[in-house]
Amino acid sequence: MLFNSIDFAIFLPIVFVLYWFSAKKDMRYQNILIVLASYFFYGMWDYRFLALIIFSTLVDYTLGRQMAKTDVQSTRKILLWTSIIVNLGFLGFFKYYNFFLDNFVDLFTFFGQPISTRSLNIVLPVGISFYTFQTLSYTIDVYRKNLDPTKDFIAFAAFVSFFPQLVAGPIERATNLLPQFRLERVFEYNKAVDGLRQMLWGLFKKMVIADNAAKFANIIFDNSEAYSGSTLLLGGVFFAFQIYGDFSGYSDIAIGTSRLFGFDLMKNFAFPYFSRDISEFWRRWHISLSTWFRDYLYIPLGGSRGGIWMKVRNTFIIFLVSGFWHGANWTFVVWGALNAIYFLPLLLLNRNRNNLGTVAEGKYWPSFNEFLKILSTFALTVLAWIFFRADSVSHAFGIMSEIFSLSLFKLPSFEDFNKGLFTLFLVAIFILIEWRGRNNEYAIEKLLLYRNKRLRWTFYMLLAMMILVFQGEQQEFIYFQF
Amino acid sequence: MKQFIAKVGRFIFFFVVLCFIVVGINYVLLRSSNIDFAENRNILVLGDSNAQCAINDSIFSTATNLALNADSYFYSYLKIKRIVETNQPVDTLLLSFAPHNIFKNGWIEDPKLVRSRFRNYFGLMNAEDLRFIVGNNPRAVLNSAGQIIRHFPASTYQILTGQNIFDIGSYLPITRNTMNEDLLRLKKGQSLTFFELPKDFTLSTKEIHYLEAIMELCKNENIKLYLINLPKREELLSLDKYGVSEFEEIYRTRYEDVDFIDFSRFPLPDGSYADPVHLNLKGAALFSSYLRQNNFSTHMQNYAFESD
Repeated sequence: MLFNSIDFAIFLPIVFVLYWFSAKKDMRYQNILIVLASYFFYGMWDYRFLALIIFSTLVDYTLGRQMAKTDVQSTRKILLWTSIIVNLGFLGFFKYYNFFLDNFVDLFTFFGQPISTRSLNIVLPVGISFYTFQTLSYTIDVYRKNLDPTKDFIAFAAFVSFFPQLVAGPIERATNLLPQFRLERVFEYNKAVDGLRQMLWGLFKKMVIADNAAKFANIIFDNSEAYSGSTLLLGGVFFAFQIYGDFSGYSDIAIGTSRLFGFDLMKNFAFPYFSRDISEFWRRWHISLSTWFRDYLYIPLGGSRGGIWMKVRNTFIIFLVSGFWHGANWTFVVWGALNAIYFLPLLLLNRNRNNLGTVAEGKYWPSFNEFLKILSTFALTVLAWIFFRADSVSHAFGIMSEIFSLSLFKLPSFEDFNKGLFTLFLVAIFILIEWRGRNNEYAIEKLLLYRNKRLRWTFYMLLAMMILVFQGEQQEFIYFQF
Repeated sequence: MKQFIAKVGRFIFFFVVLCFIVVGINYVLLRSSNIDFAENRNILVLGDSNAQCAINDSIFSTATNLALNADSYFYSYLKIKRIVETNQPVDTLLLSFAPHNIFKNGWIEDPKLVRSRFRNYFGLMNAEDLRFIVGNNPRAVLNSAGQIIRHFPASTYQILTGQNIFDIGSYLPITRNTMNEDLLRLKKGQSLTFFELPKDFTLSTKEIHYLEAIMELCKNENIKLYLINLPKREELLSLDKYGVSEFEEIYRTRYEDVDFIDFSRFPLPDGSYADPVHLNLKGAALFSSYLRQNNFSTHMQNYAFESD
């Protein structure tokens, strides 16, 4: 079930009413309702894969309980590794089996030893990368004794399957979300209104910005050999706004929906395209994944302690794994490597924590210097996105070679050019609103909040009308495939 | 909680009312507009892309081609109904009639088609037509509301300045050529680049219903109706999966009293087709010249079914 579908528009009010009216007397009933609603939500894609979520839930719940019963370190370690193997085993099979198989065959063929294998027709279960990491965070935190294992199976099942963030995050930590399932929830008017506002903004990002930008990104990337360097670069810009609008829009809807039910999810995006360098970008982009890798991979590997080579190794590992997490394709690995190359100089020169605050705080506009930094960081991310979006590494290199040729100075031109310009106009409005609200959780959190109520309602009405009027052709959320 | 629900309800109510007002005004303006139809043209061409690409009405100049790709008979019915209602000078209707028009084609349910059609056609619909299309795909119709609102300022301006508002089909010249790859696909029994073969030979009850509605309307309004099967490549016609013999059987058993002109094997030189189903610019020019130079009774004798 997509957030931007009529199905969801019917599903959400029903669950909301049942949650606050029928089940309000007992938190356990609310949790049961969340589990059932979440399984229904997921089952609308493919009910067969519900078994995977249920199995994963049972395994991690049981392992957590077992860990609580023993203080023997070796036993706890075995239990932890069981969880890691089971969860990553599923992920590896469904997501990477054919990739590894194909690459082994290529490798053996390259060395003159062709082997015959049979690849499997495997369907990737939606959201597997997200809920796998979420359940893993639970067992790791229990192992580290950062969290007491829960005895409440329903609360744990609700934590694993919580429908707003089940299929595309934010990837929640057990330490943040699980305790919320064990607390009594009281309806808070302001929180619910704020949730709706964030959902509205998320829908605008997805349906107006991402879906319109997607059309032109697809036109340009799918026929890249026909276009000049300038058009291809513009295609990269379209894709940058497609993926940002799509993914941060999804996160906004997820966070907003959760607030309707009294839950607070972690922030996943913090205006990343206003970053002044790549390290700031990575503190602001897909925060739940970046911090997951930081806490459960980068720091255990030694982090940025140790010598230069240790830093270089750990940086590359984290970015390559992050790239590979996105999909079984070398394009994602190269995208990760490119970001590592962008990031390393800042780390080695100790400049990776130069820009911790909000850009141009307290000012209307950035200084010229800040503007140049923002622009250059954005340009670097656009070049990296080209690898992310391309069908193959050679396709990406073909696009890059055209971008870095004289055709970069031609006027861009592509099918439906005028509509493309209009989309850029919408993007410009979007950037202005985001800039204005960059100090907040999301761009319109406080916009007109303390102004006349009618003005505020008119603004929300206008946004809703813009969603209806300027929505692009419905596209599935990009991150579902990951 | 009550305050929250009341406020959300009020917001949704105002939003829906606003949408209804805009859509309603648009509907009233469209209802008061006519389909553009030149006075010296008495022949109307309706149907799908077969007719849209085959009949160039600047050559066959007594005709107006309002056919549109993947147009269900439902939409053809809406067009002829409006033309009759507004007393346009039409006395002859040529309606595309081929296997893919009557076997289940999914055109009337396809969300993309409904979404792209609804904005242009909803001004032609009465309550019964609206019920039919909403019943077929409510979601796609709801999505189309945005399209109507989006085009509201432009379409209002067009209506008020007397411009043609109905974008519901016209002759489409094709210059592309996908013949070679499509012939390969046909050999493998696959659908073509721009054309889906029927999945089976089950009659589409919805298409048949509106085909018969058109027949009834023409009969009542003294419009001479010709069902026409337009030129196609032999490779397609001889393909079992296309269902020519099943189609002919249906014509014989159900509609033999309606005039049918089978141009499907009309002789055209090489290079007249864009693909096995559609004539290209050159083919359309040749075929349209032929139509202009001859009258329909001659065609009927030359191109009726062999069994006739």
